[in-house]
Amino acid sequence: MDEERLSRMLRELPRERALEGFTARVLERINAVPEQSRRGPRHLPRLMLAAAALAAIGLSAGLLQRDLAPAGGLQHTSAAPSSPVSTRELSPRDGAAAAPPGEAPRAGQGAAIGLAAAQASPTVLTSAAAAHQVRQELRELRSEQNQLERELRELRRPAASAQRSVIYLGGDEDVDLVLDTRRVGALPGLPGLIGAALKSGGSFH
Amino acid sequence: MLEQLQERTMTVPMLTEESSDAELMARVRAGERDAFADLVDRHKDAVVNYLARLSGSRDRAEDLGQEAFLRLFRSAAHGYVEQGYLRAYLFRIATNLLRSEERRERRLTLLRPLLGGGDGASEPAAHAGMLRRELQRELAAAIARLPLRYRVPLVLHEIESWSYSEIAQELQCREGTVKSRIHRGRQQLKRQLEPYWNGGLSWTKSG
Repeated sequence: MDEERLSRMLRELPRERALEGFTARVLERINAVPEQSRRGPRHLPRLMLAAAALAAIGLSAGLLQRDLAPAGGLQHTSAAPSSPVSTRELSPRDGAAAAPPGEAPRAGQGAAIGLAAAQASPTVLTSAAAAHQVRQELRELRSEQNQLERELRELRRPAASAQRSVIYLGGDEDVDLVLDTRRVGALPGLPGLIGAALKSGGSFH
Repeated sequence: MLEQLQERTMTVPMLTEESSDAELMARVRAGERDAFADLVDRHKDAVVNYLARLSGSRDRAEDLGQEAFLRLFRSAAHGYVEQGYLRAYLFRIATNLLRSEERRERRLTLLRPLLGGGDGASEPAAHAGMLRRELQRELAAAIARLPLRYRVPLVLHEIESWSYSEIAQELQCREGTVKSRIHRGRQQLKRQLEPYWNGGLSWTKSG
């Protein structure tokens, strides 16, 4: 192909024209922008709220998985029943509730869910207002995450544990596993004394 | 020939147009929506054609063109003062919009396999079918496939008839760089079109 022929082809490409109603559509979009900004966060698109909810669930699940996984086994339910983050909230079965049916919860799943949620709404994220709202949601989620971490740290502190005589570790319908912290303090050198108690009518024996 | 020359001349920023654009922009800043409608009417075809050549898609050009005018309106609200090259300013906005969109698409393309989406698989086949129809469409598609650094100067020079110096000023680079990029863009176009050219397809002007 010679240079001249290519130049001619380029020049002879038909010129595209804007469709009828182009100007009207631009003006409509201009008029729509202030209206959207007046609506405020209460009237966010449903898709965005769903994405934020998914991200919150994902982050919470991921956080709990991350914090509980290193302890392993029975010790991963070390919160007292009366604490703000109860053992029911921290049980592995509840972790599984956040996962899809038939799937065990995995570490990092929260981040994956959050990513999927963000990718599910690319058109929403394009507008500046939506981006601002997402940043705000993210700040709130981070704040919630920090609060949860603070609570978990508080629960792990020896002083906090010492105030409680018995800490519920977990169990099922037949057996509850508990830790008597006063007895742990009385036996230096031992990692802890874990007691098992058979339940009968809601009381320990 | 004369018609073609007139049409090409219209795409170059003209002195008579410049002052009017400046006046209209001043009225837009004062809150006159009608003035903005006049501006859109004046430049919409040029912007849509430019974007259609850059993106290779008529629909995409329409969407991005609208977005470009929205950005222009916001610029006016934030104090942009027209200094004689509104069309060049619009083309710059349009180029940046396309660049952002192509980046976003590249990221999505990378993430799509991880997210389990498989709808991109049918695109090449559909695209290939379209390319076979006629050389003119193939040329438009080939332009859209060029890297943006070659595509922008090539479209501005070959299709919008901007001079090398105008393009250099717009892209903030030297004229030599502009010439070099256009040359490389042309070489890539020729390589892409070679199979179609040798395959005996005739070049027919569809108007």
